[in-house]
Amino acid sequence: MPHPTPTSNDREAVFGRLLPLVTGWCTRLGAGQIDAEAAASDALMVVLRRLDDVEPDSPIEAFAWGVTTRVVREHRRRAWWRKWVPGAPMEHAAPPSADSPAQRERVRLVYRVLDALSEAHREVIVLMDLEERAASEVATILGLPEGTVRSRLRLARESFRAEAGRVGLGVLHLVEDPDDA
Amino acid sequence: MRDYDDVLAETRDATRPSAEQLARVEAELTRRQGRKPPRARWIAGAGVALALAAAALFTLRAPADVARPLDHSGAVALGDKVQVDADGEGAVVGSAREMTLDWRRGKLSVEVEPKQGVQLAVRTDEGTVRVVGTGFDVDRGPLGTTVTVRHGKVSVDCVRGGLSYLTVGESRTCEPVSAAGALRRTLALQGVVSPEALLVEVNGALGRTDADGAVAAELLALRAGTLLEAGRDADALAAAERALAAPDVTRAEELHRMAARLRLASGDCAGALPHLQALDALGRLGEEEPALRRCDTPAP
Repeated sequence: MPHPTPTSNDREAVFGRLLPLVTGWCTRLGAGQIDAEAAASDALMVVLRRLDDVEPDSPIEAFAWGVTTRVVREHRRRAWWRKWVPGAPMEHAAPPSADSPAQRERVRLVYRVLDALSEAHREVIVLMDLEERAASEVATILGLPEGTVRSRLRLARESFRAEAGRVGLGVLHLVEDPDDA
Repeated sequence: MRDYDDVLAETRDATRPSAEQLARVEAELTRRQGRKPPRARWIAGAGVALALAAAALFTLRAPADVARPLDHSGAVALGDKVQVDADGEGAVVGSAREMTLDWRRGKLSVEVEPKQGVQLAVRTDEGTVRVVGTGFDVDRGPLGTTVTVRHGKVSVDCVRGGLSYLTVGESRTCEPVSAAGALRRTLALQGVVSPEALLVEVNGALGRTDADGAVAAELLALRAGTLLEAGRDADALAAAERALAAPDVTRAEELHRMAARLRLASGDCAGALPHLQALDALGRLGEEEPALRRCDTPAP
């Protein structure tokens, strides 16, 4: 049975929903290493171009997440290479928009910690602890069983704490919430 | 050492895309594709897309618009994750997933289902309260904006006082920003706190850069009265005369009477005379009349 043709308003709704989401993901997953706005624009280009390819039962958010992580990975790789190529334009990573210098410094340290984590750990911390999503929702986005998400979060938090200690960002309590870990 | 949740909440706030950032990304997309997602391509091939997008958005709880006034609205659901009980004036803007409540006055109770990715902020002139997954009360009154956490955790960012995090049972008051607000707070504290504590409030309000005109005059008068109440007569006299010398005098009768009585109490008839004459000119001499006759008599 043919699906109805999307109208311009529908596209606007999808775009309006995804714009802040994808921009936020690029900022957080980029962890201060990439030009998050450029990455967001790249990711949204791909998402909008390939929206027709989304499987009927697959949530648009999960699709956008998959595209965004690939684009961010590419930007991170490019940023890393550019450090070593003389004269190559660097990625413009905007500083965090914190209220005070002390707060900005702490966020920079969190960026360093996130940057040092494995991709899987960084992603689960961004989705669950930074975006405060439920494990079930994160499981849908990542395409993983809920139990895997919970155990991955537990390991990610441990890695975060260990790395935080290394970069000088003391983290006192790491409360395991029975609801999400 | 800081709490993991605090550190993450701080990062969450600092990495939330700003309106300017989103506008730049949208402008860049527009530049790259020619206004908005290419319509022809969408319309041409997209029988599936609408159903997919709509189904997916529905599945993932697409954020409905929750914009509405909240003036004395009582208990209201804002989307399916947020409940508020509004006894006062304010409004909410945003979506069910990310909303801002601008609260002008009165009491507001907020209940947010935790761990659902809801980003909610309550904004008053004095500060901003951000949810970290919680239930809390906001009371905006003469004392400022008071936030009390029932359960969970919130960040409170006061314009005067900066950022802090509150957990269960804790509360914090963001003090008024303007001198006029500080005056209202001071008047509300009169008789509630000690004269010494009130003096701290009055002096703080007088120190605001916008403390001028009638607000400054009222604060100066309040200062004189508070010093008198604290038993600091000499300071009260100086404060009363300073208040009377200010360009916009309020409570002139009260200040002249105070100054006259304090001068007379120290045997300074000549010093009291201008105040007694001012009361006479106001037609409010009252029981100071004998003192005026006595002090106004030329020395033999």
